[in-house]
Amino acid sequence: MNAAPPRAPLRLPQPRLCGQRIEIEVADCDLGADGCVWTGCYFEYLELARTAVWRDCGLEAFFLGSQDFGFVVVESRLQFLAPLGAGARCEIETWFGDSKRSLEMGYELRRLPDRELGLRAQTTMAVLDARGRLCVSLPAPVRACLGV
Amino acid sequence: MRDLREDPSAEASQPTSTKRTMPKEHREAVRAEKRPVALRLHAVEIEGEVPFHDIDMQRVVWHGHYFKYFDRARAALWRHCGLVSPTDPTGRTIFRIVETSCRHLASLRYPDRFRSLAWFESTGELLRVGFEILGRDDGRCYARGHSVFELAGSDRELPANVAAALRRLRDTPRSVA
Repeated sequence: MNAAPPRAPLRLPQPRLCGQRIEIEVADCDLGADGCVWTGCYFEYLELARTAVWRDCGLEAFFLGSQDFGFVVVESRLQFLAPLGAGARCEIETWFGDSKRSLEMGYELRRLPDRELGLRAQTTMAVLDARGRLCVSLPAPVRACLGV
Repeated sequence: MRDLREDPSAEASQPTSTKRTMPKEHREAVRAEKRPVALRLHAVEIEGEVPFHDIDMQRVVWHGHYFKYFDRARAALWRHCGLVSPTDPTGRTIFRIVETSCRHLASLRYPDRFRSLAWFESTGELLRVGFEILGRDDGRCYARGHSVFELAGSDRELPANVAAALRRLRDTPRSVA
């Protein structure tokens, strides 16, 4: 076999700012033919966690109603460590990293009740101004929500 | 959230907090984002159209849906190579995904038509698949990513057709795209 490039461990944003945890349960409709959650469904789980942490720190107001800023996901990285099966319960911890230029978020999904790590993920969001132009640093109101 | 394409000449705005701006050369380099030279084995492409239900309230495709577009191309690639399905006929997993990533370079909107490309970058112990989503009409690259798969069991447990397809894959002459 040809040698595959080595897999680098996924580096998650640090330090963990505004950390938040939610619990979810796998729905049957998320399962693939092999009885495990299909890859794409993890993005919905992460989105639930992101929504919770944004609401908690006050960023959701910018996301939903503000004309001052916009947010676009520019990169997502996921590392799968253990599959989720039917009816699995899990906990997703989400946090912001201390980034000056973009919103970096880290995620860890753990299966319950044993808390085995099932997934690590990281997303990066760029901030746009009212005219849709890229902000080269995080605007002060956004930084204030993160407490940095 | 706004679509960057609405203002293609947009330059990096002045940040709210400081007056620094990104140098023009840097912006252009980021925008162009030179494509890395990588092996593209058995590249296949499928065409698709953004369905209305993939659009979020910002009127662009929600980022999680790009992985569906990737996966359709991945399925076509595996069919093309005889790998047929990630599971065997009894539903047992043959290939397990261990990693995936996506860089979102622009936003697709309803009802954009796109081409989703997939190819093997590596066929060793891990199967690494590269992806690109290009606009059908403008040729622009909207997203680029990869996924890495591993065999869920040993080679001996593979169905004969999948084992044969893997052998053919490993014997493929290599070329650089």
